[in-house]
Amino acid sequence: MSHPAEPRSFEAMELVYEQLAAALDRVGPDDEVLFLTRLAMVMAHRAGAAIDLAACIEAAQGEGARRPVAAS
Amino acid sequence: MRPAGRGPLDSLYFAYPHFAARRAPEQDDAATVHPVVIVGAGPVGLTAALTLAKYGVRSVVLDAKATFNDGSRAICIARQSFHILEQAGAAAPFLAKALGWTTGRSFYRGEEIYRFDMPDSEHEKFRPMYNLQQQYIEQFLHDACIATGLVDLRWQSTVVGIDNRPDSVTLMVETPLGAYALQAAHVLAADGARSAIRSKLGLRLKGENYEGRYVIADVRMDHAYPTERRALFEPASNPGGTVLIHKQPDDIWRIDYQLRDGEDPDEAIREAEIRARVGAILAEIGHQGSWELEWWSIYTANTLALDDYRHGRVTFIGDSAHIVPIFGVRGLNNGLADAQNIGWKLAYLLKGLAGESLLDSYTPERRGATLDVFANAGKSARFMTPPTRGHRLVREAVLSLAATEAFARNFANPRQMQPHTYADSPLTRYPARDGAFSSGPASGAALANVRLADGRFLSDLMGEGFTALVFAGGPVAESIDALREALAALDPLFRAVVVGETGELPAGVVGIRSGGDLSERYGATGGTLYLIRPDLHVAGRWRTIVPAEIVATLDACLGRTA
Ligand SMILES: Cc1cc2nc3c(=O)[nH]c(=O)nc-3n(C[C@H](O)[C@H](O)[C@H](O)COP(=O)(O)OP(=O)(O)OC[C@H]3O[C@@H](n4cnc5c(N)ncnc54)[C@H](O)[C@@H]3O)c2cc1C
Repeated sequence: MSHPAEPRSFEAMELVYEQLAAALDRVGPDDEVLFLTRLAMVMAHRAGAAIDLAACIEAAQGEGARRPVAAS
Repeated sequence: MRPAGRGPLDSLYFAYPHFAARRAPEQDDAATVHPVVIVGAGPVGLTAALTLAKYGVRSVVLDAKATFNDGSRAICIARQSFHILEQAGAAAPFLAKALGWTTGRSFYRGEEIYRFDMPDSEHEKFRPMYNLQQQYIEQFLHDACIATGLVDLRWQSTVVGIDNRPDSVTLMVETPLGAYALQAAHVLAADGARSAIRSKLGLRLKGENYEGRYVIADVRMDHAYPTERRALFEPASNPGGTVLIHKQPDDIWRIDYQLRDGEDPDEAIREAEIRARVGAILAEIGHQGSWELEWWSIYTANTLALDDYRHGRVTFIGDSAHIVPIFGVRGLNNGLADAQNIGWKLAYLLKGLAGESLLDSYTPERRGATLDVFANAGKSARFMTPPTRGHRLVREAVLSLAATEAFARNFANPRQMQPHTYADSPLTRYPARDGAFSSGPASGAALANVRLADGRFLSDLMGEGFTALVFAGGPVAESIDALREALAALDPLFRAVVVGETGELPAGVVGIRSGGDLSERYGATGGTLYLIRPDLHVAGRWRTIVPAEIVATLDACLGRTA
């Protein structure tokens, strides 16, 4: 049975923002794609049935995802 | 900077006055000791002078320049600052000229992703934000200072030396008509970000500098768009950089744009480059008519502050004490609150109504406000100018998700200035009493305004000194009369405002007969009392009066206890 998880509050998401930015800087540009993919795998595993992974992929694949990333 | 061929004061819309240097009395006479000398006639120094004048306290204000600020700097005045201006008796020209607004919109690659509306309601006397060029701000404050007859404004008077002794301060002043020494009992250093007084006293600002530079350009154009804040993320006209657009009076528009990493700042501020970049941005927002360039400058974000805002008889107010990033419009607003805070405290001290230790509450209250501003401003500066690739990627992720995922939109919130709550202040003695309330402004918080049945606002009923807002009825009705007398004996400017059905009120007591909404919004019942400070912050509140605590709070607020 799946229990939809309570989404994180905005305050908690602000912390995620900072933690993720710091982690990306530690990993460096060469490894960031692999890092993010591994992060998604770990998170999907630990979240178990609490998240609908297909729906998450769809949300992240929305319009914005097709645009080139300007970060240099 | 201004376009080639125009002098530093050749504005398209503002006629700069020229203030002549005058011979100072001190150049001919043995010096008197002035109660207060304010160094700097910027918005913060002038607001301090006005606040002192409201209590009848004279001041001398010195400024190195012969006129107002040479370009438009701060343009956003927050609601709380309007309360400060109103209390100082200067709000009318601001209301007549400034453009009030509530809404901001954020765009990502040309598409609107987020809209915020700042809290506003019929209970507010002022809009959450107003846009007005800093020259007008200074002009209106200047005119109000002159009207008081209590402010001795001395232009072209540069402070070049200071001797800060335990009993008084001597300032060395240079003018085109010669130099002189000026004696003061108290000095307010409102001499801005490059404060000479700060460096002469060997003090340094501490904090962080942020990456990322912004160009600030004002243009004049006939452009149909409401007064809103527009933030353009990743616009086609400025790839890799954010753009902010604000409307100001006189058809002047502020365009702020971020420079890309590695751009040469000297190249970026060449006039031809400014014209090309601003032109591209205006084309992107659909402006088709002509436009004229008024003024531009370049800016980097910092969060810097002094460890202590008071050094002996010298108190730092405004940019001399702290520098904050412009995102969230706190620089000026934070400084105005400094001026008001030290203004009433110093006035009470000089009029013999308060003890010296009242001034000790200035640093904890106002530096606390600055640290609060830093926490928010740091976040918005990191969002507006991402310092690293990691930050850029995460920002790109949330901005690109914002169109479809509601949670991602809040990141684009500019965290506009909110008044600070003096919860940890030495003047806030009984914060535990907040626990008995289910609504209303907490101890240390700014007054929450309420529109009364007769159309007036609660803020209109506050006195020049401390005000007790008393909710009539309940079992304590009689002890309230005695308490009111005790408070009036401590503060001659004290005023009582009584809410609810009462009989004849004693002379000087203000009554609010129908206070239905007010009682509810203040979580009040018969016998509830809020003690409001002269700066409209709550000194304390009691669901049912506790006379000894209320008297002790007023004593502390008058610097009469350690
Ligand atoms: C380019 C720019 C853009 C800005 N944009 C914004 C914005 O959008 N929003 C915002 O909130 N803030 C903004 N700010 C900040 C805002 O302008 C300041 O916070 C505000 O002016 C502070 O006021 P002040 O009175 O403390 O100092 P100032 O306005 O700097 O006034 C200091 C005064 O002291 C005088 N002085 C200096 N030294 C001496 C001396 N030795 N003797 C005598 N007089 C002296 C100066 O002549 C000046 O008049 C901006 C600042 C700059 C530079």
